[in-house]
Amino acid sequence: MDALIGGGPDNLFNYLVISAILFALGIFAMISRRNAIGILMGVELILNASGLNFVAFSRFNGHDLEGQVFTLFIIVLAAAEAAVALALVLSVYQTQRTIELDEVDEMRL
Amino acid sequence: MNDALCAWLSSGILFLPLVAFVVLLCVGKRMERGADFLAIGTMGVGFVLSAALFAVNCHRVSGTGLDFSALQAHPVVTSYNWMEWKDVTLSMGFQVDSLSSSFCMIVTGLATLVLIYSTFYLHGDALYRRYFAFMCFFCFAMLGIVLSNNLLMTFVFWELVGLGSYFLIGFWFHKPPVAQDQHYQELKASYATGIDERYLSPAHAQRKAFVMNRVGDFGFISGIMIFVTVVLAAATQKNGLASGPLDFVNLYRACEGFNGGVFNEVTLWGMNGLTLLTLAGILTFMGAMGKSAQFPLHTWLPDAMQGPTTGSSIIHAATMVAAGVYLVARIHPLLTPGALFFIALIGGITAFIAATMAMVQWDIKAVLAYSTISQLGYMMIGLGSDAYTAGIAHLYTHAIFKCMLFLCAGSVIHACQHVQDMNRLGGLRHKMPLTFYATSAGVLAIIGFPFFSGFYSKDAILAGACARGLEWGGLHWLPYLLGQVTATLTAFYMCRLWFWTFFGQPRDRKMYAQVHESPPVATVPLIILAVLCFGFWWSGHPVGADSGPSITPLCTQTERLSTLGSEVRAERVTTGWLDAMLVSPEAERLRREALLSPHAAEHLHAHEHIHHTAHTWATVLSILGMLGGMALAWWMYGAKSLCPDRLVERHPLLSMGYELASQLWFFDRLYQDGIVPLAKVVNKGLYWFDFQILDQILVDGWAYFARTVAQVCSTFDNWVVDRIVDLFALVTGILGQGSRSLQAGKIQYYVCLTFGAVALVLVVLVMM
Repeated sequence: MDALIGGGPDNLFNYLVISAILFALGIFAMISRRNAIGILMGVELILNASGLNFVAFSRFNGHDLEGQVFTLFIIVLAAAEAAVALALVLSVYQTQRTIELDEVDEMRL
Repeated sequence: MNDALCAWLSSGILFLPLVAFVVLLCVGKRMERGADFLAIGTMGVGFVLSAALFAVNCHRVSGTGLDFSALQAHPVVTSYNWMEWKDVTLSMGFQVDSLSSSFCMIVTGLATLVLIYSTFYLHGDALYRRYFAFMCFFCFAMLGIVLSNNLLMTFVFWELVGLGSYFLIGFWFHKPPVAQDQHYQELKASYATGIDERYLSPAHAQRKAFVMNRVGDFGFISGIMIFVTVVLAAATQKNGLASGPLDFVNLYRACEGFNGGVFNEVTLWGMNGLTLLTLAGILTFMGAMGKSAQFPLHTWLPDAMQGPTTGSSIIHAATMVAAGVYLVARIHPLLTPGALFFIALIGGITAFIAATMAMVQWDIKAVLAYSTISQLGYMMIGLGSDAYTAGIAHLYTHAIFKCMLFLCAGSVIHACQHVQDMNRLGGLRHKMPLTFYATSAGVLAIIGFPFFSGFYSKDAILAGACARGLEWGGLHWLPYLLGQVTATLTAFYMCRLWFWTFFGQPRDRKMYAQVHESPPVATVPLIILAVLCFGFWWSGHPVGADSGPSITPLCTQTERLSTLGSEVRAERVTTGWLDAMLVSPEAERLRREALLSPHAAEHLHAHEHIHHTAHTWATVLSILGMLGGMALAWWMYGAKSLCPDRLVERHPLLSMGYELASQLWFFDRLYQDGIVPLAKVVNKGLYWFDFQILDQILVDGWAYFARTVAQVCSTFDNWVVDRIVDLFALVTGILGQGSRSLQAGKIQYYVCLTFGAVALVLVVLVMM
């Protein structure tokens, strides 16, 4: 508990709060955006929030490197995901001439 | 190398006629002259191949050159597996030995000559091409029997031969029954009796032949089954013979020496194995009775005269009727003494009654038909008594002279505008010299005139039968006596035909004026066959006795058998190279036993001695009988100093005999008016049973029952099963409708749902 709220601004709690805010913003972006790019950006925010969580826990849990390594993986994954998702978005745009996801409902019954 | 060669030659001999048959049927129409040359060529090639096969076979045994001795014992068998069931294998294949290879030559050789003759005889016939095709098929079937290596294959080709004869006998199937046939009524023999004109027609004759043969074949297949069962049962006791229980070589081996005891230990269906073997032999012989027209299944053969004369010629010589004799020769080692006696007895009865029928016929072809039956009876006597070789030799010699006699008859009939009535012929020897000479050779051969082929074979048969009588006595004299009497009758009726047709004055002058000799295409085959009727081809001895120098290089007379201590010299009662070639199984057995014990050697000597005595007596008696028959015929029909009609009128016994013979011993009557109506009544009863009981009650009742059950099932299905299915569908549909809105395709909706759910889970976890 001491590490959580200890003295000064540099404590775990602050990091988690920022991370939670980022996560919430990401969720909000995903829900409120209709544009595929906007949703993707929301996803990136969520990924970053979780990355921040990992780093924070890593730091306040005896400086072991596991959390940091996980974060590196998350960054790589996020990059890959972004590349694939953007390619998908491009492809959707080429066929549908739009990236508004509400209008892409070809497969719907 | 020899074995492969034998297999190739056999395949060629067997399948070439089949190929010719197919080609003639399919494309013969587009070839010139209906492609008759193709059929003749095929048969000619078949003859060359057969001769090659014969030579290879002789060479194989001797190793150096043509040597005819003891070929019988070592067949080359080429066998292909046909069916396998557990450890029993059925095969198809060829058995090449002296019997099959020499008989192939007879079949193909005679077929070639007959086909050449047919181009003349059937010239201009509407069905000309079909005739040649059928002949090829017929020969294919017969060669299949000849080359077959097992009983089942023999049976298959046996039926094909039946089919071939069906084709040829009913060749002019469109002809009406003779009672309505104007042409037949004009030309038919006066005093023609015993013929049921209501029915007689080519179509009826072919059916009759087929049905009579079915009766025999029923016995044949039953016999095969008993043979297999008994031999397999014996083999199980002996621990041998698993594969090919129907192969002749295996059967021979299994039945070697019936007294060996194995069969005595076998009991099936409450019967001793030997009794069963006798039964199987007799039943198998029933097949031969049908094919070879033996009493009491002989009535189809005279009707078969409805076919073309050339067809009759081949049926009576090399194919159809020879098949029965050939079969008996093939299974000879399997026949027990009881079965052999049965065969000899049936042969004797057949020979005698057919000869009496032939004596009163006026139709030139009918006389020959009955004489064939009679001669076939001789062969059966020979095979049934201890004259195996003679029986087969008679098959060969008879094939040649009877084939030629039919061709001569055809030549006469063709020249006399299809008149077959001997009462309208006469004096033909001046107009048709070549036909006359050929017929003379044939007549002298068939009556057993010395120095002609029939003399050697028939005498040897009678000698064998006489020896059997001497050895075993009692009823075993019967076949010999019947045969001896028949020899006289044969001489009488054949000379009657000869004198009445070719000698004396022409009885129908108008017709006689137009008679002319047939062209060379007909007479050359006649001459070839006539030359073969002379005895020197068949025997090295002028009188067929068992000693003296041979004038034929092909002849083997003596065989030296050395035992360990002493030398036994066994002289054969031989009729020349045929005898040397076709060793009698009985003699072979005695000789083999003689090698082993001095006692058996004595027995062999006694056996040979009896044969020698019997041969002398039989020869003397048959020559006397033959001369008597000839003299009687000359007296009645040559010199006409004795009127047969008046003789018959004056003696009641003779008139009874005449009536009996001219009514064909009432066999046709019995069958047509006794058995056929009986069969019809049985048929009607069976039809009634079939229609009323089986169809109406069983089949229709079953159908009604099934329909009722089906209706109940249908109701249940509709109201219960279907409803349940519908219920499931309904529930699924409702659930589907309910959950449909969840899958809206809106990504925000999914995200909300997901996080909502996660939040819910978290809340629940925290609360707990």
